[in-house]
Amino acid sequence: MKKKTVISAILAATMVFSLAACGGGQSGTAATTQAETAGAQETGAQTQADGAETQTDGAEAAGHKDTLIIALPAEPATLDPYAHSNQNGFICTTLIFDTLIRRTDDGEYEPRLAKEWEMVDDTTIRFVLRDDVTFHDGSKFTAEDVKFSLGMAAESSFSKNLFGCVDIENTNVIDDNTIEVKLQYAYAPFLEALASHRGAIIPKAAYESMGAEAFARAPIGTGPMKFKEWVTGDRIEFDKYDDFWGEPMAFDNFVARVIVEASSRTIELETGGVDIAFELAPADWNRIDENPETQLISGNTQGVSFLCLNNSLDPIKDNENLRKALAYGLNLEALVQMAWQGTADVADSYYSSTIFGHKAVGPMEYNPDKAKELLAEAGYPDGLTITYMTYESTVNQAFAEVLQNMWGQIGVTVNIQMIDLATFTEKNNNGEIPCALMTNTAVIPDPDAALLAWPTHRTISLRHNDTHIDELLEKGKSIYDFAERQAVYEELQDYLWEKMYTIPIAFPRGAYGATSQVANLPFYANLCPDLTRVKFQ
Amino acid sequence: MLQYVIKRILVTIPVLIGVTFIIFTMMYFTPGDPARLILGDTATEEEVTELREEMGLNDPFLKRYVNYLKDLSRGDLGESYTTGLPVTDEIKARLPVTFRLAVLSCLFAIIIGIPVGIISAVRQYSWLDNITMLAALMGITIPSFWLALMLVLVFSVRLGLLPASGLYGPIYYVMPVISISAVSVATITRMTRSSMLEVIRQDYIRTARAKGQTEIKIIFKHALKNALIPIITVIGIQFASGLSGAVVNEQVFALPGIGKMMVDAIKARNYPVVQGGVLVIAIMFSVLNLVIDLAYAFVDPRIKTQYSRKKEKKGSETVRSEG
Repeated sequence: MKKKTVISAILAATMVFSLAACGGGQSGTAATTQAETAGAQETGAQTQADGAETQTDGAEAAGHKDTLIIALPAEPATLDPYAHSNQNGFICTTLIFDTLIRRTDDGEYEPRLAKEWEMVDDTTIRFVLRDDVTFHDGSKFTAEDVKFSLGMAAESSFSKNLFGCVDIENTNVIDDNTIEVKLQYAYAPFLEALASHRGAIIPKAAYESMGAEAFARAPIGTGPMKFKEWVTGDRIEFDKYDDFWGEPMAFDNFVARVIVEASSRTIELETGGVDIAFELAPADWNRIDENPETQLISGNTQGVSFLCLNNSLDPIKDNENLRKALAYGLNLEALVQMAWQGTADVADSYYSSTIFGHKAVGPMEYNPDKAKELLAEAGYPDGLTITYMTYESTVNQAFAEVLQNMWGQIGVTVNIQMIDLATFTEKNNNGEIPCALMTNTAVIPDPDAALLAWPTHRTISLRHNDTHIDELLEKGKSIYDFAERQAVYEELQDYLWEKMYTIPIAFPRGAYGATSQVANLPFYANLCPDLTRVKFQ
Repeated sequence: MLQYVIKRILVTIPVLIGVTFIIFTMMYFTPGDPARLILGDTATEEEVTELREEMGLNDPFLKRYVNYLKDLSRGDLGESYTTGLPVTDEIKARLPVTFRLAVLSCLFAIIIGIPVGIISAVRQYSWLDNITMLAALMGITIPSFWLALMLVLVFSVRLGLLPASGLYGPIYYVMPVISISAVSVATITRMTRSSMLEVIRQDYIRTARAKGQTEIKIIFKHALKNALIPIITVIGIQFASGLSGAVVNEQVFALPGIGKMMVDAIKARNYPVVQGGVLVIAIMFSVLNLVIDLAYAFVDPRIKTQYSRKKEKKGSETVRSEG
């Protein structure tokens, strides 16, 4: 009897412990405790992380924050802007590097390192550069650095889809502050590319003397912050660059911490251990939004998730009716809700409305009867089996299960194969994926970047072989006139909808979280916010 | 004894070569192209082929393996495909974190596990023993990641007493050490209890008691020393598993340890890092096994005598064959 009582007491204590930990909501006392301790903890964390001197000054004690701490989901492999395509790296390097021009919130371009620019003709742009800019190593920024950076961008396999148009041999450095950039062909998104984080200007002399590998670990730019330290696997630190030519920033130090686990990033945000957390788990969005100590900054991204059908393999190949039957067999509202848990909208086209030239051509109505009818016309009156490949992620798993169920109702048996991401990538590029959910996120808000998966020379498993798409893509990117260009992309979206080589599924929304102290951090559709603007309330 | 140590070290060399061969073969046959993963989907087939050539991935298996062994003999573990840094640097940056955590967790487990196990054995079936055994059972069965998250939610989010993640001072070690060592504490407690129970039923303990020896002396001098062998084995195993990296805990607490590095490297098909990491872990395991074997001899003189007997026996065999 005594033994039973003891065991019951322990079990009860365990349950209380679990419930206390799992329970939602922030009662008054708990919330206050959290808010109070957050500040104290933050100071402690920063003091340790930054090496004492940066955080324990009088200003910090008086409540003024001078360090911006962010939480990244993965460690950047490099900080060389032309040696990667990793979002986490670019979030950091926007503070280190400047661009020639920048997009304002009104959608206009504003001068940065370039004071002014002029389109001489369709393939020539003349930039007049600032003459009061220095790199973090003290060397002067000149037109040679711009030419060198554009050359790097044009050759990099990560950037050449944006900068491959640059004719570097004929690009002329007129003097230290003037450069005439030549393009091999008219490329309408060029200014957008220059204004993006991909258009970073790097120092020619420093890059060449340091070597690519050293530069990647300790980059030098003209931005408001200079590189300080990189503790592998843990954090990257920047300091304020005192000779920065532009407006001074609201903080003097920057720490990017690597916190892989999504729930740990959320907790660090809630406890004030970090100021901004990226790639939050969708399940945490509401919690962050409802907590008065934190804010959720969310919006529509530049991405589209689509069901990629392999048009070079049977049964999809040359079978438009089958592709359309599969599209009619999807209840997109339910599918998107279940897979993305309310963090995505049903896709009405092949790229998001955050991108120029978007036209709502869809979404496809859910019509199982029509689907069955088309299946019969496609030569599969008794249904068929389709192999669906995917890799592990919360969305992918839920999507695969719901898809299997929905297509099962129209007589299509889905054989789900779960493989790891590396194998998936290899198979995708070998054209071996019969059917899969894929997401394409445009680097810049331009249809040419948004439709990157579509040219016939691309190796991914879409493989449609339709050269009319190539023609429209080529035409679209070479037209500078907005209205004309828009018409081409609208035609292209209509055409893609008619052919249904892939089925557009969802426009995923994105979010990052910040503490309530953080101000002036709007949502960026490319999920790579300009952190130079951040202020503390 | 020294001869035994040298022999063990020499035996380790073929074991390590075997380990390199197995891991190299496994990585070779695992699908996934590191070149494609590095360059991304936008790279053309030509660029990927060019990079594969540069990385030596197009060479035949044996050539690649022999080249790897050649580099290894010079102490060169290669360069990470993703960061371009030498693998030794990558490991050096992470090993101290894993090592510190493994040592602290092991110490914590010993400090808690052995005394609690002894008390449990001495007071068998008492309420204290029942509570201890229930707690030990929970320690073994509760998933480490769950415990880690619960600790964070209670002590960081609710109470605000401890920092949620990172390793920037002594206080940051508290929760990772508790969650990593939970299984070890439980295992060591259970092992100490069962081993002690076995020993305290022996005749010589009864004799000691009959002689009027104090209970403290009986337990610590006579019983514990004889019960230590299986406990040392368990401590060794727990410490070794800590050294190979507590991946889940490293993720929850954002610790830059070797476990997380290995998982990332496998995902990215970063062969040099995987191979280097496995090799370092294998070396640590071998060294640890040797240390444990030597610790047996230290704790139990009978084992030491066995080593000497073996030596003597060998000596006499040699004499006989010569004769």
